[in-house]
Amino acid sequence: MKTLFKSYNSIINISFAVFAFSFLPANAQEVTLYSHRHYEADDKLYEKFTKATGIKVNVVKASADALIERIKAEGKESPADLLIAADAGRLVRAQDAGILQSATSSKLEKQVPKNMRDEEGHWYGFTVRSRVLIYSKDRIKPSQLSTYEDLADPKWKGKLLARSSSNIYNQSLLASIIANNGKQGAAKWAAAVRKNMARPPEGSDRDQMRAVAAGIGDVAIANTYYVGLLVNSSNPKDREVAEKVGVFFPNQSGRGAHVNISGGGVVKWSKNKANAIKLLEFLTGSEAQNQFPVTTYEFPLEVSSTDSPLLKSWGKFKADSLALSELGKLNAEAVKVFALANWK
Amino acid sequence: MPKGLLNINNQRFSSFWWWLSAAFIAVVLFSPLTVVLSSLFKAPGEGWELITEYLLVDYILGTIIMTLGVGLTALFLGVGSAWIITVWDFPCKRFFSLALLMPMAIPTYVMAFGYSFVKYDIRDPLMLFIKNNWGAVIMSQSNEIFNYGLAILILSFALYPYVYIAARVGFSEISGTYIENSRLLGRGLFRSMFSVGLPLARPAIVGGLLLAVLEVMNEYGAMTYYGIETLTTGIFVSWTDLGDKDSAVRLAAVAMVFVLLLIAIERLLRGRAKFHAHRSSSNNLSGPTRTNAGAVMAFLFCFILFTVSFALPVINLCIDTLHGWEKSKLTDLIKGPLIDSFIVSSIGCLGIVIAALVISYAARLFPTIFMKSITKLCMLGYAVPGAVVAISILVYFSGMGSFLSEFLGFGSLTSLFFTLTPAGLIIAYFVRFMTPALAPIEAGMIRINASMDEASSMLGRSSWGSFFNVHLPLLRFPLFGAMIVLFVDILKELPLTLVLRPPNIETLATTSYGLIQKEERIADGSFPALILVLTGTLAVLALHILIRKRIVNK
Repeated sequence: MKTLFKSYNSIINISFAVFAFSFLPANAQEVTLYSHRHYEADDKLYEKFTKATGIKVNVVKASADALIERIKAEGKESPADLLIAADAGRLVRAQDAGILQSATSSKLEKQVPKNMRDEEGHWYGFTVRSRVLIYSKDRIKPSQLSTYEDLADPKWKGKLLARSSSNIYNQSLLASIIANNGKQGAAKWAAAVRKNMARPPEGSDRDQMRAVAAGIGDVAIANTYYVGLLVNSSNPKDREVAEKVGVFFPNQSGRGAHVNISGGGVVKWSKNKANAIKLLEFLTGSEAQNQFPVTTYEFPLEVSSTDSPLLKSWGKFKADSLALSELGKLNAEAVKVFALANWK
Repeated sequence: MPKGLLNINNQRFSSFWWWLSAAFIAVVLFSPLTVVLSSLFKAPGEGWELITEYLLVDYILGTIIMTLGVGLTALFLGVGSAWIITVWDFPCKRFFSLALLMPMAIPTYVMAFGYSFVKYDIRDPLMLFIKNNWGAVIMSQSNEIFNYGLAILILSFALYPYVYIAARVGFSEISGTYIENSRLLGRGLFRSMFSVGLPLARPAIVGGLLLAVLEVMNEYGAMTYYGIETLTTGIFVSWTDLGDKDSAVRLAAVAMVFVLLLIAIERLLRGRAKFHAHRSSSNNLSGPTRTNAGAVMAFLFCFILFTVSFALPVINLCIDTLHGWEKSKLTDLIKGPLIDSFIVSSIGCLGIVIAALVISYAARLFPTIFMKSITKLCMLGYAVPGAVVAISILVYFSGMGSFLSEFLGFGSLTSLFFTLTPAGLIIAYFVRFMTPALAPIEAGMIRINASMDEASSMLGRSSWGSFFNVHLPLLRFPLFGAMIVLFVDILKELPLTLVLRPPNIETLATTSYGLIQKEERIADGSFPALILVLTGTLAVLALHILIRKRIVNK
């Protein structure tokens, strides 16, 4: 009995080394997702998938970090087949934690652009969002805007709005700036942008746009699909906000606007790997790709190939072609840079 | 064999079972938390240096401002309203004595959302005015102060009922003759509160206050909503942003130390005084006072408090629900989240109360330092953020589960805990919510005069006999009270439920949180939130009837 209480680590090590029979019957007709995505529209897609293939989809929705911890703890007994995150950085973190496995199919390789998947197939993107500048149509002309880097200019003092640096979208944006301008350049940028902010970071991307509409600041950093959510909100005040702001894709004459993905990777201990791959193929396939711009206002993997009038109204844009796996690798660096810049 | 055994009870064997069960429960509840505490003795993670250098001071400052701010405001609102209702007679008094409990049914994130209009319709125009007159720097600072103030108010609205209940029960225990004597000696009702009411009801009030303050320490949603940094938000920063779980757990340990300090302060405030009720004296106030001016003031105080803490946010929810009415699917909600919520909440609250009874009775039988420490250890889970409890439970029980399934040679216990049944989730509720059960039951135990035990024992009853025939009947009010509070608490619970639930399980809280907070699909999310609040309100109604009964029965 002594060993029982000796240390948790040893208990876990011993237990994971030993084969443990699962109560779960191996059911070929199901697939279990651990998903960070919370959209109801996703559930509808899963229903379509079930109708088309007969494979039942089970879902646990929670934050990606919690789900990664859960898979780590459950180990080989984890019921999870597919981990879905709303950011490439989190997928890389899951990959680094060793809880994803390589899964390849010719369909996936064809449907997902190279910079939006892991080289060895540990994860694949299935929707794209761009982090752009949202400006006040009343006070700012698009010609005044140019690049992310320009936001560090003192002319923006007291005019910028952005959410907390603990938000992964900001971290990935900064990671892309580190990748392009180096760590020192990024540190200077973050500190200058923080000094130019109209108020300390708070609230969601939507709150930044609301503050632009209210006149608290003039330019906000936000993801494109949030504009779509405001435009289609049931709340008339939100629709009013959407009227007052414009979307600007920065760095168009350079590397292009920063983009990121929602994506999924097959879990190392998946008991339904084939089904998990089928679901990924479905999510990256044309039916789902046509759905995302309409239901969640995200871009499809081929950002220019959408019929959505709203997404088209923002105009064509050039997307940064940086391999998204870089965002994950530079994430820790980005978090440190934010802390030093006092960007809470 | 433990020392207390020889002193209090002759029937050692039966008493020993109490000791053993309590110790067992304590081990089960506390051991997952050792995952947290052990982090203090491990080398810190990579992020720790960054945290201590740049962030920790802000975290601690934010935590202190928020706990002090909400603590004092909730104390004022809770004790004030409870005293008014105890001693004054005014219109709608019966209604308010119930209505002031109702905010308990509103989760803090729903409360924060209900007040989001303040952010957009009051604060932003005000800030714009400040910016235009005094510039962006002053605006930025005022914005931060405004946010702190608003967050303190909103959390106080959601949490003062903990103090209110405790104070009502506390005041009801005070013999009416004390208050009457104070009045006869020329003190007004207001001054009597300070000279008689507060000192006598102190242990109950401080217990309620402690619950409210711990809830503040644990708050995540409302804090990030207003850009306020506390130890809890810091835990998430270091866990999810820095990817440094060790530092996160280390911060949780700092938070635990903070809480231990609070508990120690509570003990200090309670002092050595013993608070036994004097059963011989008349407990009824011979008719509360009524003066016109006083009645108007009392009515206004209660009316305003009820409006801001319940009516306003709930009316907002109703309006939003109507906006999205065609879309909401009542049957889906009943079949899924409503039933799931009921199952986990019922099992949870029943189990936790039984465990709390065992512990507090064992602590009474054996008033040893060991037993006292066990009681305190069981309360620690309330101090640790839900997400950290969740991770500790996962790490601990999946390790234990795998070990046992190997040891005993049958199927996987891990999937039994987390995939096939909500067992892991329910255990997590035990770890998290032992405090709201133990606090009132312990307070109830303390008020049972020790001479009762002695009498019962002398008349030949075993510890079991005394428990069932003497203590249980006397404890039925705090017992039912604790059960209702727990039911509502579990109904509202988010972080544990999100992380530990089996696949395809949604509670009312997870559904409404996902829709409101994550998707900002307010019209759709308001309906489950409303059902959650109404269900909670029904439970609170039961609690109210209980308190009334108790007061009338005296």
